[in-house]
Amino acid sequence: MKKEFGQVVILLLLIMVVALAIGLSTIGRSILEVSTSRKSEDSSRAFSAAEAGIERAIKQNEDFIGTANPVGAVNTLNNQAGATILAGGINTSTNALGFINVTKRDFAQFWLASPSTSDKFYTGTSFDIYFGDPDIDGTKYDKNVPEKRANQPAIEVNIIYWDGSKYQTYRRYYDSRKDTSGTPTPDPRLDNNPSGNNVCNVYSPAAIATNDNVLTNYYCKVTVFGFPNSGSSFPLMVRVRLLYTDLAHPIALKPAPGLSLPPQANIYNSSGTSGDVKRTLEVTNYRSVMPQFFDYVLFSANDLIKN
Amino acid sequence: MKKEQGISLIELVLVIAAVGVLALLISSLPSSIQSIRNSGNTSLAREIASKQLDSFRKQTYANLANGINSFTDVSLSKLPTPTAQYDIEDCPLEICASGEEAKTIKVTISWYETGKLKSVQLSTLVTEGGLGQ
Repeated sequence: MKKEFGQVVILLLLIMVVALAIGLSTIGRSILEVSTSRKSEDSSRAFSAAEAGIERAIKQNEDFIGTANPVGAVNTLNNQAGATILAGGINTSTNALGFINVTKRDFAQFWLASPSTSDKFYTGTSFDIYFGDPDIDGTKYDKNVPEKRANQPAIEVNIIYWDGSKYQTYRRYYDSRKDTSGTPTPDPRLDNNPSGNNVCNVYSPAAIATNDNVLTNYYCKVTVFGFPNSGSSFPLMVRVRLLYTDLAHPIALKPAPGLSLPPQANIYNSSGTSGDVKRTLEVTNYRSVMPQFFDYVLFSANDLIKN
Repeated sequence: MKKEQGISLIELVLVIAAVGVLALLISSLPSSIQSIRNSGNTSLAREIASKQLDSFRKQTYANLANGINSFTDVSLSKLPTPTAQYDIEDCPLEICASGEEAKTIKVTISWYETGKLKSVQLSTLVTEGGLGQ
């Protein structure tokens, strides 16, 4: 009798343990699911609120690039989630402004005048352009070894300036395959540049700090000068395009010593919160500019007459 | 020693406790399973709503007409007796304090679950020339 009774207790215990395990795991899972779905819902709400904040900041600042002082904490959407919006400009101080991966289908755009008002900002008469990825051909550049400069580009620098009554362009071409003395290295490409300034001033220049304070190496440095910047004429923007390459290269513009570029774009930072969840979005908003091919379009208010 | 007869009090208490725990577990199982299903539905509804919000961002701003409308989505039929609607309004002054040209869009997905109405709502602002435009 006693023996059998002991067996029943063990059996009962076993069944209870199994039932407990099943029950607890189901309850645990349901708690997990509920909290996950609540968090992901909060996360979606916070994200929508952050997006709403960005939209509002863009709308408020669409004509004011660089002034960048607007919105504080804003309850963008009632009863649901709030967004805090901060805005600032891409400010280069005296650093260079760099673009990392520019391809031949693209171009690097630098404002020299204030992007929002088109007022004169840059006072210098020259600036430096750094371009080319020094490591793109496998090893560090050697201008005397053809295979170590196979993919190095030439550039077109297009400066759009205001001459006091109308907009004009000032165009220069620079080939990385020309020596500082102007002597072509074995296979120069831009032979016919009339200015004679179409050379790299420095090969493999020392790394320069760009707007994000990262030291970056470039292959070739050229100094662009000669564009009008006095009296009522001043440069508006610089557009740099790559030539003779299928690969992406970095391009940077460094202002003359002591000078700086105007703020180039607005940066909006919006944090949405809902419940315990906070999500932050950062958007960089450049002023829209004409695409590259418009550099080669002739605009005229009247009919064009060919003489 | 005298041979024990019948069931002792401790044994009785143990059995009652065991049965009680088991009963509690078994009774809570359906509601657990229900809440798992509910959270699955909520996640699905949230995804449908955020997808719809994204599609509004890509639309031309001028095409965002004010009003309440319903919409459909391929995943909507996975919810029990669902309704999906969006509400587009001009941004009210308490939000767009300086009168920015913007629309508030609210997307609401609701469905019935064990006789109760459940819903998920997402709302945001869309402006002309804003994100995605």
